[in-house]
Amino acid sequence: MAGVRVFITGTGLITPVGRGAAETRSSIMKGLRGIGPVTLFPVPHGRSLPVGEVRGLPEGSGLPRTHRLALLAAREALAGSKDGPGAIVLGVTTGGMDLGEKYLKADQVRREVFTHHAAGSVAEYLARELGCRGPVITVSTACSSGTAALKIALEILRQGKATNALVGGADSLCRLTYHGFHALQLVDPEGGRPLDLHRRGMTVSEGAGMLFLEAGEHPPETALAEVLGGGLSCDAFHPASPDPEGTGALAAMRAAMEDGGVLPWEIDYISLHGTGTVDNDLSEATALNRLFTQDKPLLSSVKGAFGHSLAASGAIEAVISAMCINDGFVPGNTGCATPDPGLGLNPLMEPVEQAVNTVLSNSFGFGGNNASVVIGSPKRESSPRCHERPSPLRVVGSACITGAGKTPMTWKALSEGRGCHGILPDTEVSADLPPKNVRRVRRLSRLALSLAVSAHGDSGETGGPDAVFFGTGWGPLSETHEFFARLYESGERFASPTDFIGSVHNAPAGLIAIHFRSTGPNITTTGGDYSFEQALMTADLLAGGRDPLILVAGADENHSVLSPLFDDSVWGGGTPSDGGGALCLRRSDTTPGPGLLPVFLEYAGRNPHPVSPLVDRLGGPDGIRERYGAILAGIPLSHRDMGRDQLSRFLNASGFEGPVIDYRRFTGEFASASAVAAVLGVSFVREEKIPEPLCQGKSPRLNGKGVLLMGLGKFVTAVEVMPAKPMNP
Amino acid sequence: MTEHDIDDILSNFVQYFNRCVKGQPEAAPEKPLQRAFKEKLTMNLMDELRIKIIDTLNLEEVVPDDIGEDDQLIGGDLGLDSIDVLELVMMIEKDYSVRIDNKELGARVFRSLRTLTEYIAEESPRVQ
Repeated sequence: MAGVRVFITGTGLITPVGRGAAETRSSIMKGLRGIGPVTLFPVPHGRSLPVGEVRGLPEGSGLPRTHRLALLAAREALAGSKDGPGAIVLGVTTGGMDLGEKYLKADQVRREVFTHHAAGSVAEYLARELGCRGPVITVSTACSSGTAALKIALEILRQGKATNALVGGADSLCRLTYHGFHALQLVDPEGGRPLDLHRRGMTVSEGAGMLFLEAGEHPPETALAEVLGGGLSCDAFHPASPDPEGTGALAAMRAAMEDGGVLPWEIDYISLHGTGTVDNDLSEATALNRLFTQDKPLLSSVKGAFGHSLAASGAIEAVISAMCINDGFVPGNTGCATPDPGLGLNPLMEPVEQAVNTVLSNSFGFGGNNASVVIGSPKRESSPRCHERPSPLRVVGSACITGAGKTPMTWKALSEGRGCHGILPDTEVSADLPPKNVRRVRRLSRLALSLAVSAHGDSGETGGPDAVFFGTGWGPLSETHEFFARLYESGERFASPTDFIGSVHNAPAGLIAIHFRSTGPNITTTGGDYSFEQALMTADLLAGGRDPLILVAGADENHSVLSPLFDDSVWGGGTPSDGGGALCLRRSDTTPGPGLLPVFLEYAGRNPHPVSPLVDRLGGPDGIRERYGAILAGIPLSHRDMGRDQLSRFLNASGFEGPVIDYRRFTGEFASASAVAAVLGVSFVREEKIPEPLCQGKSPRLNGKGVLLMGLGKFVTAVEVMPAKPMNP
Repeated sequence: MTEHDIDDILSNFVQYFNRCVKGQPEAAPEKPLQRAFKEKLTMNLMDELRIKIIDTLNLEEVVPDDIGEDDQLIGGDLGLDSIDVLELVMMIEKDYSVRIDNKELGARVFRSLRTLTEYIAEESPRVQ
């Protein structure tokens, strides 16, 4: 198989300093600063802090700002292409929060207004508007999301899951981030001054950055730059403060350069994370001083001009990096008057016109999430990357939590035909967790940590997981609710810093990393009912290296107020239920244990026939009947008709006659029910049989076959769990 | 002020008076009374803060007596860090109308339960 290189052939930008590449470049060269008083929402007198707002964003009919920002940038990036993108990977943290928080404040709330609330809804909106029929993944790793998304998209293309992809990040300003960062005292009242001696914090801002990537052996004429490599790591140090030694940041930069086959002295410019907070700049500087013991490349942070647009920032800075390479300039470190001598860095104070071949771009975030990418000139000597088929992922440990209890109780309930709906009390969820470690987090993080600890315990492994992947449809709802309750009760005067930190989607994965000291990639994905499948696919894409131990978990909490408001399936879904599942995996040919492979994940909203490509991917009707003894079908209540139709088409096309378990009827309705189903599938394969009450009178014996886990509805997904003795794929 | 408080102050005064009668050297009578009154309030405030710290920071395994008045509050045995300081800053502004909005002041005030109590007693319109 010929190797591929991944080229940036289109970019889109919308930021507080301009729209589109030309305008942004002109603003950068003039050293403009897009920072001013907040106008998007009222703030109490005397509490106004500077922000970076995108001015003049056209109104959209009931659409949140993030969605509108994302679409504008995406259309610009795709301007040269005829078809919709083959895949979408998007970094998002706030989603529709700017509208959602407004509605939550109002007394009368209609459920319809939350249609675009989920962080994952932005990527789905783009997929629908742009006509994407491939994988759609939303990465929510706080401020590193946009850069992490780029690494994931790079692997999608390298591994041949698509031939082109739209990748980027988008976030809009909202009360949550404005008051949250204020409560953390991380906002500079004079506007962010990255690397300055007197810096006091960042400026929260908004925007979107998008890149259209195309895979090929040689650069196409339209290539602006090449994505050479990406690196991810986790500090596993603190939920919100960076490791002062910069060890995680250093690891991410080193991994990115190694991935791209680039040596430190080949880097011409470093686009810093450089938020302007005292601790971030210090940690990044320490990492850079460790990486470059002699001369450093040119370096600057654009956040003094653009503000910090959270999930968008990494993508925006990747676009700027591509522009630097293509146009030959380097941005100045706007906002910095006196570089802090304690940092030992020498930032570029004014923009310069200068040829640039290779750029390293950094993004670090809450949860100790670090991501770096290396972008190079397409004219640069570079060898195409051959993707070797990796060893399969093998399940070495698993655990679930349902309304019936933890794994053994869930299994017992299903064996007795009782179902496992309901909500396990908090005390039972947290029973095995050290109170000190979970005192600052609420239900979802506790669920996730409990699942991780149980799955790891089940594996019998002594060392903790190297990498953590977590999928959640709605994130930590209890923290989100509590944050707004306190904010609104106090007339928007008080916000809880602890609940703000706990409310980010990647808080649970960060907690798991701290617990196990997991310093490898730490990725949280969110995409409604398919969040866990996105996490599995991301784990499969990213988990390389020498036989790493990987943890993949999915969980959602039922919040009595927010879950029925946000999730249509919960609203009509009978007994409120929640929980999740976790798998400990090794990528190895020799490890015993069921093999697990995410086979298929496609957005089906614009695709009338997602079933035939799925049947083909699974080896056609014969392959399906030979390989699988049972199907666990996930059909969310909100898309019951659509899902049932897809399932019957699949059964007709494949001629599958074994048991098909409509598992949400047993688990109840919640976004991560598929994580429970995955753990059940592993148990079926290990036991070589299925609890009889689930078999609809069909044979409960698997006879050496595997289990197919299907997700249906807005997405069509397939994950196979195969017996320990691998069958030929 | 509750009846108990008045009783306590009176009993402090009686003790002081007895000491004076027994001829022990003491300062002018107003001062000890004021001090006793202030100490009482400080003790009440200190106990109140112990409970509020435990509640605010969800310290399940800690009982009020575990927080010694001169123990290191942050980075000590309680396992508190900068995020907890910010959470306490919010609670203190909300409940006592005392703002602690810069790092240097925070470092001084949150040194121990005693420094925190004294600062609030000094600054809060609700305590004086």
